[in-house]
Amino acid sequence: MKNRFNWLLALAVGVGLTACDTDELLNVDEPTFATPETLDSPAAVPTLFAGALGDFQVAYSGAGDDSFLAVSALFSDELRSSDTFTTRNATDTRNQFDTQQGNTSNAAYNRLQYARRSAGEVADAVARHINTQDVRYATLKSLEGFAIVALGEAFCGAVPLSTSVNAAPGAEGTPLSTSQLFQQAVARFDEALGGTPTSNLARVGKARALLNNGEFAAAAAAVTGVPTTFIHRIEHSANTGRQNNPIFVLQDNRRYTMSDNEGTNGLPFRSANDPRTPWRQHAQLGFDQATPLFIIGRHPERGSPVILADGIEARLIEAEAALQAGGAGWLGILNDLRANVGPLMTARYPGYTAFPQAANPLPPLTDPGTQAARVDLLFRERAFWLYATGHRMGDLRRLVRQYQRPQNTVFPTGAWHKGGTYGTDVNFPIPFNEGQNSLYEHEMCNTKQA
Amino acid sequence: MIRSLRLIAAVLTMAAVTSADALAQTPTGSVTGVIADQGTRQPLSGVQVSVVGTNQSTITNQQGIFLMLNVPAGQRMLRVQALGYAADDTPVTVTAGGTVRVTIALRISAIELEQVVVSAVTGRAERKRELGTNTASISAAEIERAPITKMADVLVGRAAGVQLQGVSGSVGTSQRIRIRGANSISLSNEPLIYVDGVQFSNGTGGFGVGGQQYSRLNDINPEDIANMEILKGPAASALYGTAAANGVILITTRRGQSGGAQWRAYAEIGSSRDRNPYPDNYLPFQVNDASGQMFTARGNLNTAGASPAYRFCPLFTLPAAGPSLGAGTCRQDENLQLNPFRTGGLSPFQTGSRNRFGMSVSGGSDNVTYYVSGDREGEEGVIVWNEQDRTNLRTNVNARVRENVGVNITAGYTRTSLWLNGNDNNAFSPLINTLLATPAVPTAEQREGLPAGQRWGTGFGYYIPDLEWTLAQQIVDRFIVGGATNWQPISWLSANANVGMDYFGRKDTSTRQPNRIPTSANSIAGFRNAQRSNNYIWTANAGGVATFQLTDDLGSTTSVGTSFSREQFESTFCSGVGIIEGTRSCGATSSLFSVDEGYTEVRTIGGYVQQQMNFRDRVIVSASIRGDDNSAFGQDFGFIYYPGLSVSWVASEEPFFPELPVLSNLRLRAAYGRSGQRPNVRDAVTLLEPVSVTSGGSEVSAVRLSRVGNRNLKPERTTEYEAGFDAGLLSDRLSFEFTYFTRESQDALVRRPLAPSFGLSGDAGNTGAIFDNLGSIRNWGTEVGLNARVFSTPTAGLNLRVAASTLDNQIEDIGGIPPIVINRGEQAHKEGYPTGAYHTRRYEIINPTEHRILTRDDLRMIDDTTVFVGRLLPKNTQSLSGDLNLFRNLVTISGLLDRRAGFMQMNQTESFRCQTGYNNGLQNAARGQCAAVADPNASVEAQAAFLAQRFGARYTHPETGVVSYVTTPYGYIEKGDFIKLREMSLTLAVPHNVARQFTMLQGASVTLSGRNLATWTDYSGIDPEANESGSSNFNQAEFNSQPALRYYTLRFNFSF
Repeated sequence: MKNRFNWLLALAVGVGLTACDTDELLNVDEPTFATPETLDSPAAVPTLFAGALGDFQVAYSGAGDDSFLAVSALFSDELRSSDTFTTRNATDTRNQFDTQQGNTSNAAYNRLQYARRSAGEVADAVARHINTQDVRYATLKSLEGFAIVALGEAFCGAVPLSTSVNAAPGAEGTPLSTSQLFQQAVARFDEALGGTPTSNLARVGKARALLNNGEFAAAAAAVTGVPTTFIHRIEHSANTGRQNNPIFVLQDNRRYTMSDNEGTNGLPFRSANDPRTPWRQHAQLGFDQATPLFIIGRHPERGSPVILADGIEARLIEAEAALQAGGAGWLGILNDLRANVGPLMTARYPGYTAFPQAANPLPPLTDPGTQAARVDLLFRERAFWLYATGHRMGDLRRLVRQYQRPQNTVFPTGAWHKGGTYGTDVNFPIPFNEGQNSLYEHEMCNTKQA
Repeated sequence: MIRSLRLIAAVLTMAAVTSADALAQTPTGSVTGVIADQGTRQPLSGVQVSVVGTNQSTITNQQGIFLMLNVPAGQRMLRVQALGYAADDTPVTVTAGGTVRVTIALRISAIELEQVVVSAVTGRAERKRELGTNTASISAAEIERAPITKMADVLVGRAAGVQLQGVSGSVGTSQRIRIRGANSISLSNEPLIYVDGVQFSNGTGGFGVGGQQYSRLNDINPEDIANMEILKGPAASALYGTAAANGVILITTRRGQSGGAQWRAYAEIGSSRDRNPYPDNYLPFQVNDASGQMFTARGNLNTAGASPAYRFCPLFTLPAAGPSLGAGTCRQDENLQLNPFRTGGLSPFQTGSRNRFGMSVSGGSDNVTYYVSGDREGEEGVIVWNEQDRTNLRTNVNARVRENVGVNITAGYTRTSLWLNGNDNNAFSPLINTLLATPAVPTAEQREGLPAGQRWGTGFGYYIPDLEWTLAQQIVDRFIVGGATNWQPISWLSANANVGMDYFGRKDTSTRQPNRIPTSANSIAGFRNAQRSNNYIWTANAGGVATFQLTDDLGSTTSVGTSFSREQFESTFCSGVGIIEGTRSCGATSSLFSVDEGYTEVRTIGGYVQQQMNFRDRVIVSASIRGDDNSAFGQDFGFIYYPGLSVSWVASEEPFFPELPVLSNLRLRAAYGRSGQRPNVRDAVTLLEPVSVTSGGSEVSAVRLSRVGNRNLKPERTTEYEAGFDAGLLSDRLSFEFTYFTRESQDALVRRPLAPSFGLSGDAGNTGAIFDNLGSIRNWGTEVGLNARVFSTPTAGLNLRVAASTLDNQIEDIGGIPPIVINRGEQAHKEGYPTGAYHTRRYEIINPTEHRILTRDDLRMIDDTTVFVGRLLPKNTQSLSGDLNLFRNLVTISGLLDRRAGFMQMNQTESFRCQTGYNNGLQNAARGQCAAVADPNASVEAQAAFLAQRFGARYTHPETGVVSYVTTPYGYIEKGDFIKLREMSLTLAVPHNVARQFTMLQGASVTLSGRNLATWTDYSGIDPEANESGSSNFNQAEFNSQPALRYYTLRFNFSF
């Protein structure tokens, strides 16, 4: 009996084992992620669209950390480092590290390229599953354009725009000059306007790209009809760290302080007590335990939005075009904006009235008399209106490129607040890993050329 | 192949079960006796005695006596094996119901050919003479006499080719194990570990408080270890398949032996101190008005006003970057100097303490033996908050359920509670705060007078009491259970099967109470992070071994079997901000909630065949092949095969071999084998990660590209060749092992960076690169083992052991991609150079022997681009250990000296200290300065390192002649060569006649030992071994990392 039982047991176990499907044994569960295949449908478009919005937010503004907005502000005269991180100090001093050592701006480059691809891919999905007249198509194409604009404004003139296919590397891109980049951006904005001709976002974006290329009249034409009340915000949230406002977080962590007359040429963003650049002093020192900490009032919360494009920028572009054309209208445009500083700022930054500077009126400007002084005045107005929105570094480069100002007359220069002197870089280097692109060589990137 | 595996499994299972009743009961008798040293006639305890051809074995007691019951009657061969002695085979005739008494004297032998290695895959016990590889062994005896504070200590300096880098002195932190170098650029280089045949997870994880990782290796209780075998690479581990490319560590825990209960108890107390050379902190300044207040309320130098009373005066200023002293830009009237590490009230260190006590009992009948142990360990580190408590329980039962069926059950449980403080590159590290403390930092007493919450004077303004609120806690409950059976249905066939599970549940928490650390909004509000995770590894092996004596001279052993493993990880995480005072729960927070779930799973299935041919037990040739499939392979890849071949020839046993007293034993061996490493989970698939996005003021669901997969991924294959010999010299009083090995990984899995312009390098950590099977890495070197019985008399003896190795490592091919740069750009994987080597631009000092205050023009940049400056892994390692026994083993003195040379260490501690201190010194911040910035007596090398990194070295462009100043960290990349006195111990044993005065006491001893007693090095930093990146694959830098501690331990051992 016992013997028979053993035989039966052996038979049962043996048969059980032979019946095992080994493929089944290797089949593992994947509950955490989705695959591209499962989201290739019209029903998935809202999810993909939201993903592209998030990718752009992370790239342009930041995920509560350094991305284009913060790092370009640090490089210019908007922010100063109160940190111990050597890469941040190197960026602040315009004396950046060799690409092999890495730089703070690397994340901005990577993410802007990522957001560009993401927006383009999702725009294709919208076109494939719905149509190009869907307003999301225009938004996505515009975001793709803005990502390229940011690359052009911040990085040296050798930026490839490689392609990808189904989230895999595609064709390697040839490095594009700064001017070529803005042309590429204009093409994206035109695609957006082809689907939705009334897209104010695409209009302002196109104008910004044209302005960067010195096409002032065309830029002004592009924003004709964009109302001053138009605002496009990059939305942030306290919900997750990835959605946090970067300026708030980086200042909350005491890494950056608001600048004032930074490096001889910097503007008096604090001491002017201008209602457009509200601020307060933090009770503590910066993270370096040495630098006084001044908090920017435009982004008082973790979820404060960042303005990507608005009607004020449209007017400023018109003013610059007018000044370029030699007309008298430029000053009027600026003064119209100044006269409405309260409503304009309140509409954009609801929390800013808590700052003492918010009560300050802005008196009208007078013509300084010389063209150079007018340009200075115009750029000063741009700097204050567009403070901490990712425009200042591009403007400083434009002053060098389009207005023939020496770099050491527009960028921070001279003694740095932690000792030593500012360097002479005027743009960000391309990250070391771009060397994986066989068409790119690091020698193509000149950080001294605006 | 799959069908074959199924068939094998089925046949083995059927055979295993159906045989039981085929057995007939046979008459039995008993064997008893004494085992002693041939020379000293001292009885030997812990000697293994077994009956050849059966499952019966036992171990001698303290008096060297053994007893085996129920030995099958007839002619039997008694095999006696002990470490350090030649094996002995003694024939005995067992009569039914009778007792055979034997006395066996073992001859000392430094060469160990009969030592057994039990394969975790086949379950087969193989003698070392059967192996064509150099397999290292570490026995319980070696562990017992050493000052072992944790499992990792066991691996230091005891086996040639095995490097354990104990990267941190923080209690509970991890280490880096490298066996014969680093095979893989992007995958783990850690060996595979088995405990009693069950695959053991040495994975890391937990909330970071710097660069250190939590150690799981140290979950193994050294007190429970019977022996360890180290298979050093694929030549030895081919049968272990996809995971064994970095070698295999086989750990066997203690077993019981038949006979009465043997009790063992121990108690240990000890202390730890940080005796490392910490530098002084400086504050140099000029005094303009000595009557003025020197410091402000924040501790800054008082430089207020147009004519400040004081002025910071470092050695260097810009723009000249020249010596400020010489240039007259300031006058160093005072230079405050303080070493806060040696100053009462400022030092972050306390005297740590540790204790350990435990007990075990083993024994059993001839059919069932047991080993039960319990162990409790507590340690408080030199930082007051760093402490660990650990409880270990183990039960091992071996049963002979039938005459030819043996079953082993092993079960271990460990509970660990660890508090870890900030370390390394962390503003909450006590080291970083002290290393940058100003010499005017307020003492604890002075701080009492400061306004509430005011902090100044340390690196980041934090004092030790603040750190209580920045800790992370980890609690681990770990079970390792296994069952193995061996059945020998007929004389030539045996079947082995084992199953096991390694499980640990981990609870990681970090709570910051509100208003303790006013560093950010979240910190002020307080927060809570918590993660609970379950980690499983299931192991199952089944196989059969057929042994035939084909002719009188030729034997054959065939092994066939299957293997399966499953690794599973699941976790839940929560966090929240705004915690209610005194609570420690995510539920007690009020905002910024976050939750997450994680899950990964990997499965491997494999089958193997091994054929061994044995000619007169002198020439043994083995060939094997293993096939594996794995769930992490790419969809387009199937099975992978790993062949192995091994030859062992005990030449000295050949009739023609001359009997030479000088060369008493000689074995030649050679082996070839291949093993692999699977890709990481998800490396083969492209995945989208769900994220939240704000759109139109609402939170909406979205996805982001999380991972760029490669569906063609296959395992990395590592092929190894080794050859060598084992020689017994001077009548086996001296053994000498030599091995040369070369191993090369093909289809090396490389995390290949993608050009960011493809738009695939986002904020998700796994984007920006794609795994590819690219290129190859080669490691080659030599290993020497020397084991000498220098003298041995009835009253005294001296044993010395040397383990030495050389290692070369080179990336042969990296698939045509540019170098992969890591660790702040200071290290790189570059074709033609060692993995992870340091590459940077070098400078030279003009007139380096002339002491002076340098300018940057005294530094001349040598290189136009980065060049190789040094390797990561030591090229040469040597360890010398020994035991001196005196007064009939009543006194034993042991020691271990460890040397490592031919590698570099990045002194990031000093780099950061000098750069940050200097930057903030110019702002008159309350921070200390390094000597290179402040002390006119600082060496020119130290000045140069600072100047080159801060201001650059003079570089003249070779073509244009343009002069510029190029910065480089070169001066901080230093030779890391060192010699460390790792261990010293003195053991006093209580004589047996004294012990017998106490009831039941069989033996007692007391050991006084020290660990990390001295370091000799030219490295100018704190510790050439410390590493900020814990157990990372290649990143290497000392960066405010807690270095190794000095331990003194007093231990009492009792057996009864």
